[in-house]
Amino acid sequence: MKALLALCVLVIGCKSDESKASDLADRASSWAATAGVVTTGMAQNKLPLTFGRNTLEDAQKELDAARKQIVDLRISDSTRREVMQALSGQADSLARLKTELARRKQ
Amino acid sequence: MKKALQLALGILTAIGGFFDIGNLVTCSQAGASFRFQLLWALGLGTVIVILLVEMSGRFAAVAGKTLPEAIRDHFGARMAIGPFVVLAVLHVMILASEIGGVALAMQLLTGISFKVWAIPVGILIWLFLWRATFDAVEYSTSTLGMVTLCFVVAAVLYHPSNEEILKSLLPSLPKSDPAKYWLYAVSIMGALISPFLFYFYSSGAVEDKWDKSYVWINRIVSVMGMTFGAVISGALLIIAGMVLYPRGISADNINQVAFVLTEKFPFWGFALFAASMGVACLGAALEVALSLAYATAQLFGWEWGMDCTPGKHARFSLTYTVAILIGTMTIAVGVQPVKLTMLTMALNAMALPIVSIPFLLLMNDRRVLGDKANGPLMNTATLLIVATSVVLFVVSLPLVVMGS
Repeated sequence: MKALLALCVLVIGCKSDESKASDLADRASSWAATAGVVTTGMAQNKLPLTFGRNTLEDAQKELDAARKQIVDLRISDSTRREVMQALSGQADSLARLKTELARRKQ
Repeated sequence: MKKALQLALGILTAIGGFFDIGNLVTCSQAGASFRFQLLWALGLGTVIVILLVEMSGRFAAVAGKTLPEAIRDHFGARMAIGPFVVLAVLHVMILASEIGGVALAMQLLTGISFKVWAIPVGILIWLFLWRATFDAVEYSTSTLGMVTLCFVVAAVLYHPSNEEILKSLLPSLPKSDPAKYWLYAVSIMGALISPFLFYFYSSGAVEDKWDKSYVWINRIVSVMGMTFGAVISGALLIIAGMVLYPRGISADNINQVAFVLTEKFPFWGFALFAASMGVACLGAALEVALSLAYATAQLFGWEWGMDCTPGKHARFSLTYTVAILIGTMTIAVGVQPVKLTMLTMALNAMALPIVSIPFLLLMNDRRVLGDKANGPLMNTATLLIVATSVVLFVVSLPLVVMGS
């Protein structure tokens, strides 16, 4: 039933801005988790440096894109604040990972 | 002895040729988002693909004709042209995805963008087809494709719960995000039931000069080859479910999947993943390009075959050359291979009625197949496949338009 309902929603119209905001937050947190795993992998010499660097760059790009997109969405102020806070938290942890990586390389 | 060797090689080819960018993307995304819950889609798709591959091989062995030839003879060239155009476009999209898969594997290994790798990869594929014989293409890529067994080894080393796996083989409703769940279910089936598989398989049977005595070999190859191939895809889904799902990583980009083997193979895991992806996509790209050339030549009645010089079969060779060129340029201009794959796999599922309906009619032609025509059991199975394919078409239409 839920699936049918979802299909109907998809057929009738696009995703609501609220659900787009939630998707953006999920995607950003997925990238933040990826960055964490990749940094650990690099530290343990399981992953090559170029791959790690590219992944961290991709994660940064995704976070920046999410921040830009969230501004254009028609969502309540409280939702916007929540998502922006989450994105800032992830950006901070990504910056920490980059610094840590740079320190290890030295 | 010769047949036993052919049986072994056939199974090897089926396993090696089964796994490609479609399975890699759809299974890792499904595992990352829904853990093992979508294993049922893999199971259902595998049963369907076994039956369709068995029928296409049986038809080729008994009638000495490939599927496109039989469709043209049975329905007439005019009726066959419409579905052919749809399948040709799909072939080119799959080929572009596979070229993108090899280029992405090179990006993982070198750090240089997949866009840069697209052209060298396209040239490599074209050169291989231009110079090699059918057997060389078939057996070299499938033997190298055995590297993908590393996914099975890793999945076993993760010790997943057997109970959870068995439960997941039965369809269930998603706990969250139903649209994504059904899109992934449809895409998994689209990745498994690719039209190129049947065209390539039946053309291969004719190239290898199969006759009625090969019917039992065909049966074993289709059942064992497809089952083992599905086990590799299932293993990747399980690994993604155990590595990515608990961390909330959604596998939208290949960099989010490439490290899944490193926990169990710390030193080789990353290279193994990239090699598996590169080899599997290279093998599939060769097969898709050939399959399109076979289908085009067979529909228009041109000379075809891999064992003659390109000069002798100019139009056949030109077809795969143009297809490789389009696929290569698509990736070189920057189309994202993972996104292209998801769209293509959903479209594949939509096109399934075009592939499955002719089987129902062709496999009942007793003038051609004699006692090897479908019996009541196989006809019931084929009817169920046709019904499933129509349902998939209806379900994937809104999902493709809005979801992907």
